[in-house]
Amino acid sequence: MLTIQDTDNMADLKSKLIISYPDLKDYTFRMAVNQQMVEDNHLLFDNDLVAVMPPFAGG
Amino acid sequence: MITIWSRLCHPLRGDDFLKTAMNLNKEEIQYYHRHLILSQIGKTGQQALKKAKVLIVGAGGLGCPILMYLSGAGVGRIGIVDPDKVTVSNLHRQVLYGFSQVGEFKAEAAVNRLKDLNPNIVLEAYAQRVSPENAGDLISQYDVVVDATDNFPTRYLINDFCVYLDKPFVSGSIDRFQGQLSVLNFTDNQGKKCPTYRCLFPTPPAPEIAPDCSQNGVIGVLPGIIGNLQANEVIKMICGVGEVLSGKVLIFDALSNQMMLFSIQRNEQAVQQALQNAPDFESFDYESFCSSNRQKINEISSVDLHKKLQNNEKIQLIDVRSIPEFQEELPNAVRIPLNNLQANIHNISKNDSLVVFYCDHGINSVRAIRMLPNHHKLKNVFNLTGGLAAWLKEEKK
Repeated sequence: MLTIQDTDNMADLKSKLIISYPDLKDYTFRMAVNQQMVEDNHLLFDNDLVAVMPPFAGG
Repeated sequence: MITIWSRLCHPLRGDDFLKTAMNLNKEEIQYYHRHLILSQIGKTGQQALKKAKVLIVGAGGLGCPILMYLSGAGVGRIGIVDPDKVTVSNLHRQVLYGFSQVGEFKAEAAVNRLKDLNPNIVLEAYAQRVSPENAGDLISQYDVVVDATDNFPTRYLINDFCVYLDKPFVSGSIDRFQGQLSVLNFTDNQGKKCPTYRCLFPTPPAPEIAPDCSQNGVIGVLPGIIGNLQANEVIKMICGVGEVLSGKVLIFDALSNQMMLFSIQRNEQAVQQALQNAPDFESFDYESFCSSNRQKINEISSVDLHKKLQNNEKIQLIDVRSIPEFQEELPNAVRIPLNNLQANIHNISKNDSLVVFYCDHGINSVRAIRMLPNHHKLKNVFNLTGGLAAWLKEEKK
């Protein structure tokens, strides 16, 4: 569990995550808030649960 | 419409059932007995399965359980597309095959096993890669497509053709201990169009960012679990029972047993991307589409490398494998496993006319090249396309 403060929307959160995890910038991934896939302009609120989902190649 | 059978009027009792079962013969009634007594499947569902035509793209980890259980379920016509042959490293999870099938085409080996499992269905083997040239012909012959492939170019290709031909497809993918699953391009019973693969992932990742099982590894049971979930969605869709996993993606984690559902929206702009090349899909290169967002890396084919080695050109070969799948190695190769690369950069020559990186399948070697510091990113650094797998294939010719 990672707590991030003063974050407005998903784009903001993404850039903060990339600062903490620089490798992320090369990755393609989608983000979900409270089990709903959202776009970059989605606003975040206290206690939101955010999930990061990369596509998998394997079969 | 689903027929409801109560326990009191057992479907197998009396001639009435046999008469109404029309296209199920006596042997089939025995074979599908446990389906026939389910109120949600019954005779109507079993006949729907018998009439159904399902194309399974990929007869690997996911494909094996999908094929076994859809054959057992009595899907009347099953097409199997896979260009690969069975290898020993497949067997720990691709349990449809055994040692006696190593070297055979998977599509053909699968048909031979499945016709014994269920002789009352039609099985069609296509031992070829699905491509923009053949996808239209293949997919248009079936009602439902199952994406059980192991690479992004094929995943986007299947999506685009299914959108164009208006076919639902069940997409599954796996990585190490996790799996993803969704029913895509489904039209619900109100006629509403549901999300596609491009709605979920509008832009593809570069291959070395999202490696397949041969690079990252996979626990053998995982494709068994995810593949069976895919087969279950196919059956539900055909029989019209339960809730189809559409507009949602399911994530399964084998280590924690967590299963989560995420809702996804249809993105019309992404859907249009799928249709932009229709009907001239032949002109679209899915391979380069899936690596276009990365800096290009020089590639050398097995044939060209072989020629250069025969001409005694000065070439340094770097083998980046940690646990090799193939015992063979290229002559005079320097072994620098990917995870030790940073510490061993000084062993990479700057003087040879050519430095060729290789691994088993040509994906980890791309990762290695991308890890090189800038002064090493010389014009003479190449990746062996398809890795040793491609080299050994060429040698056999």
